[in-house]
Amino acid sequence: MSDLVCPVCGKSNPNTVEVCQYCGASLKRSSAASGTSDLPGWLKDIRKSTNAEPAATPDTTRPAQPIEPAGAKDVPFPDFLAGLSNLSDEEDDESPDWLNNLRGVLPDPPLIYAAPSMPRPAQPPAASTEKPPEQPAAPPAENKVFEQLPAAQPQAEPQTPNTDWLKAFDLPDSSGSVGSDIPDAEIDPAIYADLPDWMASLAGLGGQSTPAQPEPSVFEQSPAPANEPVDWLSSLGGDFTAEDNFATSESSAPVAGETPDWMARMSSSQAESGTVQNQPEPDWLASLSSSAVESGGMPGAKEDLQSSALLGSDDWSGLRGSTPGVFDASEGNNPNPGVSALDETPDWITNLQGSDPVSYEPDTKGGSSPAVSPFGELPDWMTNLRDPAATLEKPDWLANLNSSTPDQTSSANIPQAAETPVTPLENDNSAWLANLGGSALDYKAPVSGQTLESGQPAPFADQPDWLSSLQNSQDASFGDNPKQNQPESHETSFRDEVPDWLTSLQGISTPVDSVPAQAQPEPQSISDWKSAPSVPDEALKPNEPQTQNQPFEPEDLEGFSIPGGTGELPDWLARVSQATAVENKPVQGQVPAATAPKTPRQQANESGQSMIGTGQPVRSEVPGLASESGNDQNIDSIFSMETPDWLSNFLPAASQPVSAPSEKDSTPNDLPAAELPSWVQALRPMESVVEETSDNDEPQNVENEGPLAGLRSVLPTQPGLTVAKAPRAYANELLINETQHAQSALLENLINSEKNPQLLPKRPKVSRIQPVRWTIAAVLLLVVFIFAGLGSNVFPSPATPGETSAVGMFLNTVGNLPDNAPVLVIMDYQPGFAGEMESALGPVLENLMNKKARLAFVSTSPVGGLMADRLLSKFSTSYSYQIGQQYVKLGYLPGGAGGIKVFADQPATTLGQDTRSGNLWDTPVLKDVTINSVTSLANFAAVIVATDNPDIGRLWIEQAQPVLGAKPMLMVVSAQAEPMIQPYFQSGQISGLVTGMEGGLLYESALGKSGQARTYWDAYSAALLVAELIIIIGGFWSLRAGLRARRAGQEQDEV
Amino acid sequence: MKRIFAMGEAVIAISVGVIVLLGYFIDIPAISIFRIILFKWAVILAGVAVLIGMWNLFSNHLKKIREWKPDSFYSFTLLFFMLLTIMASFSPALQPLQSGLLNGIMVPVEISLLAVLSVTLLLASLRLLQVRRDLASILFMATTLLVLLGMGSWPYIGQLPIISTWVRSFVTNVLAVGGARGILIGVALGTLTTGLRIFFGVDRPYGGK
Repeated sequence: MSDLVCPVCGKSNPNTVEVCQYCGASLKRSSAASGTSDLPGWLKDIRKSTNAEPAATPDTTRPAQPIEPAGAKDVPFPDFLAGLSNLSDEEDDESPDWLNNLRGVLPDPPLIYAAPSMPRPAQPPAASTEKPPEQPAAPPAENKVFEQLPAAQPQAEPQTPNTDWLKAFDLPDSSGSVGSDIPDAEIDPAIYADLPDWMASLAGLGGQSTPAQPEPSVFEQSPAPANEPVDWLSSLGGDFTAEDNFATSESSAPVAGETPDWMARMSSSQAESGTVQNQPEPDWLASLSSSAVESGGMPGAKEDLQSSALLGSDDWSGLRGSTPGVFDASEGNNPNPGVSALDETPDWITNLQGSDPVSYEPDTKGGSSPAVSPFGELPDWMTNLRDPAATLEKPDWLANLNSSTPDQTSSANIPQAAETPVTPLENDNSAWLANLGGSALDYKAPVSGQTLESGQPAPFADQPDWLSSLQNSQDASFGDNPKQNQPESHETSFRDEVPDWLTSLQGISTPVDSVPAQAQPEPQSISDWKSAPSVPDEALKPNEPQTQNQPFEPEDLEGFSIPGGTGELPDWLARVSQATAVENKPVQGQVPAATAPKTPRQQANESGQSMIGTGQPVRSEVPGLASESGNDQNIDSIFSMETPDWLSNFLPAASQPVSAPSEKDSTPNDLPAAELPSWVQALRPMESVVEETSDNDEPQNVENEGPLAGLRSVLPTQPGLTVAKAPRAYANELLINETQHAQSALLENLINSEKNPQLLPKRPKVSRIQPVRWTIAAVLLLVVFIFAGLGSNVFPSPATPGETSAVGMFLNTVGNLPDNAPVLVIMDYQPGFAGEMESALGPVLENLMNKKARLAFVSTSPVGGLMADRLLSKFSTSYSYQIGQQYVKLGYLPGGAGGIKVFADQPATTLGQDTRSGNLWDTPVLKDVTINSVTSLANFAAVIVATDNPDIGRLWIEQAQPVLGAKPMLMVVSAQAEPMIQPYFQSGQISGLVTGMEGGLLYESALGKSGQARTYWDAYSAALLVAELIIIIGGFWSLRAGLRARRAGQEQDEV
Repeated sequence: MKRIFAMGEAVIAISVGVIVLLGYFIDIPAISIFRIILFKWAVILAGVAVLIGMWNLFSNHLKKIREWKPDSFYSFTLLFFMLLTIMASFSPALQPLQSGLLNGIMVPVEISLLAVLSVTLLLASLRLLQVRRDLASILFMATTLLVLLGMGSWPYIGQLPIISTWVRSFVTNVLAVGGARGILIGVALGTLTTGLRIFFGVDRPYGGK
């Protein structure tokens, strides 16, 4: 939604208000006035100059329906770019460089049309030509050049380097016009040196085939301009009649100053036809020319070809052939309805050129022209454009751009234009492309038939500079007399910078233009068509329809393949040639050259009015266009430039005129959507891209300062071209089944349960049994003390052990030991087990002492040695065993299993050596343990392990028993270790086993002696009985107590 | 650096284990000698560890004495008899004192502890059925009674013929030995597994992990 900017306070107001909400100033001002208030200085100056010009050039061709000025009151927004066409030297000071470059290359449209009305200075604009093209001051100089016209060009072109290639777009026009003026211009062969082969061949084709193509007939025999194959380059600036070339000399000078060399060469290739004539014609070119003549089948075709080539419809303009169709339509004739090459031409090309024919096809002479029919297939919006009221919906920039065309044509003051309604294609085509096809815009004036008021701003005022500049390149050709301009030097400047492909395309144009049959000079050489500039003067006479371009013919492109360049042709171009080949032949044969309609320019010439000479202000005479020129969306649309829609949607069929239905039906429409060339895309303003990506509903920012002050939405509001999008919403629900849901619930419960402290189960009540404990202890002590103190023998001894029993085998082993044999005794029991162990080990030691065994004690316990002394002391009275004589204490063996292992392997180096006792292994006790200096456990007669710990007994069995070999290992263990050692006895790893007090009593019994075991046996047995009784009684008591407690609990529960 | 030390420790432990293990199966003099050396180092280190333990015990109780804590009296007693035992060990004149310390203190104390244990176990058996009246408890009590009946002898009767000769023998030589063998097998497997884990460096009881 656009707002009104108050010219006083500069604040924005809604559209509905008429008075500024902030300062109270009236907003009902003309758009032009309001626009100027927001415009920067350079734009204001432009507008001033533009407004001043119409006053100086009174409108003499104003139609009955005057067009509202661009700054109409219904347009609330200023036309900021109004007057850009009148850009002067001062204006460029504030414009950006890129604007200067674009605009400065080409003359502004207002100046172009104003030029004829002004006296042309005889002096060439040397200053402008000498200026570097990049300088902002160049455009004004060019404008002057336009005004000063021909004399300037010959001097300016050779010296000034052309850096702005866009200038070259008007060169075809100028060359066309100049070509007529410079028949003897020589073509520099060097221009083809840089060309690729196929391009060079194309160039050669054009040069040679030109004489064979009747160029003037092109205008006459192209009944369906919309169907014409598009020569976009020609439409950029080359679509002029001979009458339009009067401005070429003027435009060429500034153009030459800034146009690139290739463009210069392009023009020169046409202008310097004299040199081309001398060149031999290639075969393929000759065939092209011949085919053109044949296809045309009309007399004077060659003449037309020449004239078209020389008139500025440069070589490849023949591909387009739009202008002839336009003229035909305007005159109500349908000379060649079969020319519908646009059916297969790319859309963009069609659109580029479609503006030309469509603008003229509506017959202003009563609608008899079949060219009006093509719009039957146009989309609605395009059809609406035909209605002036409907044009209000067009973007302003488009309307303005189109409006510029009627201005130009109005200046031409062609009578048909007053009756011709506005064609949709005029509005359809995007303005910037329409401007590129300058010829189309030029001929809109006859269609509209309206002239602008003198007070109206310049038609190009709303156009961007680059658009204006593009159109200026064409307009410049209108404003000058071609014959007065186009020196050779100017053309030679183009040779150096013309791209190869353009150079080659130049050669194509002439065969294309050869379609209409008209009297034509013999196509003997390239110089024929190059010298043809003189022809258009004749061909473009009002009564001679054989002027300008002709429709595209297939033969024209077929000729490309002849020189070997077909393989290198672009695809779209090749297709165009094929499609056109099918259509053009019968059409050309049907349409007589004599009935070819006159072009508007020809008519203008006939009427004795030059398009420039009218002095009309450059205003749009189309009502719809004029009304929209000052529309609200002018500025936005100019900078938005949303043109791709029509480019993509506008099909060739839509632009095909109805006047040639038969041809249209037969025309294959299989061409894919055209793609804009990169350079054309580059011409598009960047704002168009930004506008496409931006949201239309978002508020438009108004620039407050700088050269863009007052403009809306000129700069993108977002940093990049991408639009930030809201994140995509995803469903939050998880797709889980019942099992998963139950598991998740369980997990959740588990997690929650962790937070709740768990109460410990209540400790069951236990009755205090401390008195019971003391009672039990007292009973036991009493029993033990009684039986031990009395020395009773109430409890009989166990039975004598059998020989196969553990004790029996132990007895046998010890009994089998030799006397005075060394026996190793491991004392690994704790003092607390001394009563039990001594009762079991005592009888064994007594037995060994009976055998006078030499005893060596070792222990893995620190108290082992002391326990050995304690035990031996009990037998000291019976046996005289002295330490070092009958027994030795090797000491404490640390290290657990490792110590046992190393002692088993090397006992002499492990134990038995100390400073106080010396080497025990050398004592008489262990004298025969070391055999051959080898001390080993195997040298002991037996190893007796006395332990109360089953683990220690296991270690000795596992680590030392393998070393013993055949020597026996005996064990005296506590009763608690019996279950663990019993397996080793059963396995045979130990030779005998004495267990506890009972085993000792058995051993004593076997020896027939009463020892300690027997002393303790009654007390021991009595204590066991008491204990058994306590357990039994206590068990029953506990059981009863438990049952009682349960019953009590049940009773409580019942209660 | 710490990682390097850890790796070095693992390498040493595994190497020693491999060498000792090979010495059990392969009779190679070089390996056997080296294995013996390693064993001797182990014995020495174990003895030193005992000394360190003794020093640790001494220092801790000495610290308690210095701090005059309430239980420092027991610490003082411990330190006194420790020093006395050490002195009796090194002094030939105090050698008889060692036997007095052993026979007068160590043996009666430990035997008394075992006697208290017997009373405690007996009391526990009484409470067992009061607390847990299940089959396992009853079975346990029954087995204990049978073994006790078989061990001892009855006055003038001697050992019970069936119980002592068959029931007790069955319990001790079959049931108990069977269980003991299972325990031994489990111990052996556990030892083997532990040895393998140490070999492969999975378990590093020496540190580093």
